[in-house]
Amino acid sequence: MIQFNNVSMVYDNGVKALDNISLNIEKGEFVFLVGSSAAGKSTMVRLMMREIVATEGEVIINGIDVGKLKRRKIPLFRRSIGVVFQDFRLLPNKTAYENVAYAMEIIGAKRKTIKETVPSVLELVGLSGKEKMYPNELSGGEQQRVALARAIVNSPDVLIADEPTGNLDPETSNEIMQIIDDINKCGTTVIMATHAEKIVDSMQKRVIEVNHGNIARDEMRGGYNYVL
Amino acid sequence: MFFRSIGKFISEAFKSVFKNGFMTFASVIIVTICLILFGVLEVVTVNVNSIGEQISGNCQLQVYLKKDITDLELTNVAEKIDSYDFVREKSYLTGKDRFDKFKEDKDPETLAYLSNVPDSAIKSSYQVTLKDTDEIDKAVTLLSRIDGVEKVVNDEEVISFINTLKNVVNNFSLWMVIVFAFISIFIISNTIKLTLYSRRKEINIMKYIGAKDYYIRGPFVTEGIFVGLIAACIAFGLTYLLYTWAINSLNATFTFLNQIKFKKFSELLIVLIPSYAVMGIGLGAVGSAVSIRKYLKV
Repeated sequence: MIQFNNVSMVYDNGVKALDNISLNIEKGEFVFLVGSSAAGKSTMVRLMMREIVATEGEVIINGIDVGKLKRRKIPLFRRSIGVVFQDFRLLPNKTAYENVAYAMEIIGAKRKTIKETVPSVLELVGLSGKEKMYPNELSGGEQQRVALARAIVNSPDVLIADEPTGNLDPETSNEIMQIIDDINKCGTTVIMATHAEKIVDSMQKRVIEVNHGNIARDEMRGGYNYVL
Repeated sequence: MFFRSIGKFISEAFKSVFKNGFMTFASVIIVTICLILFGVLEVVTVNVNSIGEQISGNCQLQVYLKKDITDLELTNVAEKIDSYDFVREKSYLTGKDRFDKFKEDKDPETLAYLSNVPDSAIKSSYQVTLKDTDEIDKAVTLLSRIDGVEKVVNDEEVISFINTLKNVVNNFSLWMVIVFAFISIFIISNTIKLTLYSRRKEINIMKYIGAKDYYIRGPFVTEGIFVGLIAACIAFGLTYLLYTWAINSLNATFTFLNQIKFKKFSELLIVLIPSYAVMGIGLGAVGSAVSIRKYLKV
């Protein structure tokens, strides 16, 4: 599903963020990426999103070498993955409904399909009745739910979450993680970069620890700091 | 999908114009000012050319005939003058007609002196009115060659002034249009860049979700067109008010200008409407399209 083959990443300022890492993530897996700040987690996320291109090696997602994608193919690739961010990144001038609908509009979905699908996805993430609210009228947890709804509305094969609970309180974080877990149980591969120790420990999923650009640990049922 | 998206672009642009009220207002003001400056240049150029034509329409040459010209030669001269396409009209003045005209506003002392001058001493002439002062040199040359014509006299100073004025205004206008075009594009581009800068995160988010460049660019370019059209309408209205006030003020202050027919505003529509529409839409759309490119590189 997702392969990193001898991937190195050196930024323009000379910083080596990743040093010859290799890993394999199968379809349907739930993987936590953990590590201290500047370890290389976000770099891995940016490579998977094709925001940057690896200096060496290949990043392959669903059989596609994302580093070799032509510029005009990048939007098509990004539609096949769902992404949620720490800062939610909702479109501020669109309602919750419109934010989710936007992801369907860009792929050319018909209005009727959008009208049927969006409310059901919003219900899935627990936001029924809040379709017409703007992001600045929603709480942090609600905004992240909208972001999740937008990420999954086109049924992507992969969900990439970059610190999705970073701006949320523990209780809300647990609610968001429950939704992400449910998404994974439906067959979507989930890769989540996080600092949330308690969440990682409680969920007992595969843990890949990144340290100074290297894979320090890769355990099937790992904790934030140790094997469970 | 592109054509289906056009409706979406229009509705998004329409909403955005109101949601980003202050930035829209700033952009409209800038484009309006630029259009009015262009409009003033156009109006001045059109009027100067029109006035030039009016004055040159009264531009006359005196074609003096030989003293002992025969009737046959006189007929030949008349036919020759009529054959030239630069001639608007001609009128024949006998020596006596010219002398009487000359004596019209003279004091008694001068008249007494002139009474010693016989009518036959004054040569007859044709007074030829040209269609355009630009052909003055050609007219003088051709008319001088006609058998029976002794000499051709023109009012060089007036004609020269009119031609110089027309050339200066046309050249000045052309250069000012080019300079204003660059300045306008620069100002409008910076204004739109500021607008887009404040919305750069929004553009980035759209890229992350997987929107194609044209889908992101579409509403912004459409919004630029709306801004341009709104500015064009405002500029048009303000130009009408300014022009009417200017003409009325000029005529009231400088009464000799009442002899001159300035263009009516309705006669300027054929110049102003297309140029305002094209420039307003062009500046708005091109400014948006060019300015957004930087933020699409994600």
